[in-house]
Parts: sequence; C-alpha cells; structure tokens
Amino acid sequence: MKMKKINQKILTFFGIENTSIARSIMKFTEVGLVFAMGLFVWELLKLLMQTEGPVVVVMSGSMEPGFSRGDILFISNRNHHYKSGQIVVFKTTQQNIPVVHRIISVFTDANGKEKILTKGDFNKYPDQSLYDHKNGQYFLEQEHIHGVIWGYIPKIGSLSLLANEKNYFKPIGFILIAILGFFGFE
Amino acid sequence: MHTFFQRIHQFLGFLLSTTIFIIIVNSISGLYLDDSEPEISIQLNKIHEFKNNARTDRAVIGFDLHADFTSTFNWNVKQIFVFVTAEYQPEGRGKSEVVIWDHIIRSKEEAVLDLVDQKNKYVLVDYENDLRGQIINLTVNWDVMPLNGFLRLKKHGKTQFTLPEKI
Repeated sequence: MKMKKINQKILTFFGIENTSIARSIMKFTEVGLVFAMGLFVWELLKLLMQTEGPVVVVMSGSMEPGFSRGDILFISNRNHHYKSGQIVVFKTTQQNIPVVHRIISVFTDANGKEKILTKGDFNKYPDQSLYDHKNGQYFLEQEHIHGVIWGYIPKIGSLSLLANEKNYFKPIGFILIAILGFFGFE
Repeated sequence: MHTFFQRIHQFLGFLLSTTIFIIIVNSISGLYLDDSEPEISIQLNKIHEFKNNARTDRAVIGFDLHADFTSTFNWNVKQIFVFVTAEYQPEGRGKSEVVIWDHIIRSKEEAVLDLVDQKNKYVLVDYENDLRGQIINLTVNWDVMPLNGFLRLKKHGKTQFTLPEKI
C-alpha cells in the first residue's frame, strides 16, 4: 500500500513511533484523505462548470420518464444563452426550491433580453404557475436560471433524499461511516 | 488479520470504484456509439388557423414529419425526446424560437415516426405579437437522454413557410 508508506513517513517525520496512538493518527489521516478527495472533485466541478451547485438531486416526478426522484444531474453554467430543448435548473421568487424543467420557448424582446418559458416533460402545461405571475412574471430571464443539465446518473441521489426526509437516516449513516472509517482500514 | 469491518470496508470500496469505473466507461461509450445521422424530413402541410384571440395572434399549423431514429438507439440510450421548433427573426429583435410539438421515444420499436398533418401541441404565439408576415423555420430537434452519461441535443431537417400578413 502506497498510502500506508506515505503515512509511515509522515509519522516518522514527526518522531512518532508505530504505537497504537500512531495507528489511530494514521487512520484519521486516511479517512481525512478520502474526504479531501471528495471535496477536491466537488470544488473542481464547481470551478469547471462555473456554478455554486454543480450537482442536483431530482426531487419530483415532473420530468418522468426521463428523470425520476433520486437521480443525480450535473449542471453547467458556462453559457448564458439558452435554446429550446435544454433542461435547466431555475429558481423564482415564488418558491425557493430549484426546479429542473425543459425550455420550450426562447423569445428575444425589443431590448435584446431573452424571455424563457419552461415545462416539465411529464406536465401538461408550461410552468407559468410556478413563476411569480402575481408580480407580472410570465417568463424566466437569465438571472433566474442556475445552469443547464449536461450529465445524468440514475438513482444514486436516493440516499440524500432519504437523509433529508427521514430523521433517523442521518445519525445512523454518520455512525456507520464513522465505524467503517475508523475500524475498516487495515 | 481481517476484522469484520475491514471486510465490509474492502467490499464497499471495491463496489464504489467498480461502479464509478462502469459509469465513466458507459458514459464515454455512449458518445462513441452515436455517430449515425437519423433520416428526417419535415414539411408544412397547411396553416389551419391564424387568429387573433385575446389580442394575441395564435397560429395552428399542420406538418408532415417522417423520421427514423432506429440507428440512434444504443445500449446507453434511455429515451429520445423529439421536438419541433418554429424559429423566426422578428424585425428589430433577436431570434426567437417556440416548441410547437414534442414526443418521447422510449424504444427502438417506436423509433419510426410517420406523421401526416400533425397539428401543434403547443400554440404558436409570439412574446410581442410579431407573428404576421413572419418567415417561420420548422426544425426537428432531438435530445438523446442516456442511461447514464451525457445529454446530447441535436437538430436537423428545416422547412420554411411564411405566415399571412393579414388575419
């Protein structure tokens, strides 16, 4: 194991003999490394896709049968010109949860601003009822859109949905990860 | 010596890395397997209706569409979302586009579309009511949605017609 060797070197550098304390420290560094790796991938995605939230978990069935609850979607915010057919993530002042729906119209108004209309594949009608239509918002504009979906992995996000919706899931999950992390490494 | 937890840890670690590997390879394979051009043709059949309703001009048209997406299906295709857009360029404004019809193809068996005088599912209206006398381009677009991997938007098959100046 390469990682073990490196850890051994770090320990000897700090003058720690290979005792049980040293071994615990080693385990912590190993667990830490795994977390750091995850964080690295996350930050890299953020940087490459120029968005604060490069990944989203599907929360509703409004894009069935393409996307179901618990599927994971990857978001890019590199291009700010939109075309119909693209699936975008948007938020309006009306509601705070991000919605993932498909663009069905892009109009350009007299000032050159894009006016965008979306609809869920499974829904019968466009999204105007989701917009802030009481304040005269019948279309989305650039600022409401957080990005375009470019990638898809099914089902894996169900875990995060469980964690959000079932109170017992989070503590159990943390304890399991902690046990595996601490006792699982050789 | 391997304890119980070490075995579980090994197993989960192996499961995770294999899954990630399969997902990545499958995503890339989807890109390389998709090099076929489906055959597509679209034509205007007739303009059924061009009316002013509630101060807005609304057009209902009928189009003929023939498309064969059989070759687009490979092991990494979950479904194909086919849609027809009406694109136009109003004077003094930028390009605008409206989806007037869509359809989901879920398997190779349903991949051949043969539509005659298909009316729009979504009414053709313009944001600033600029439709009169407009040259409209009908385009067939499709979104290839994978089992896992990348979504790909493509378009093909254009036909042009002009909406009447007067209603």
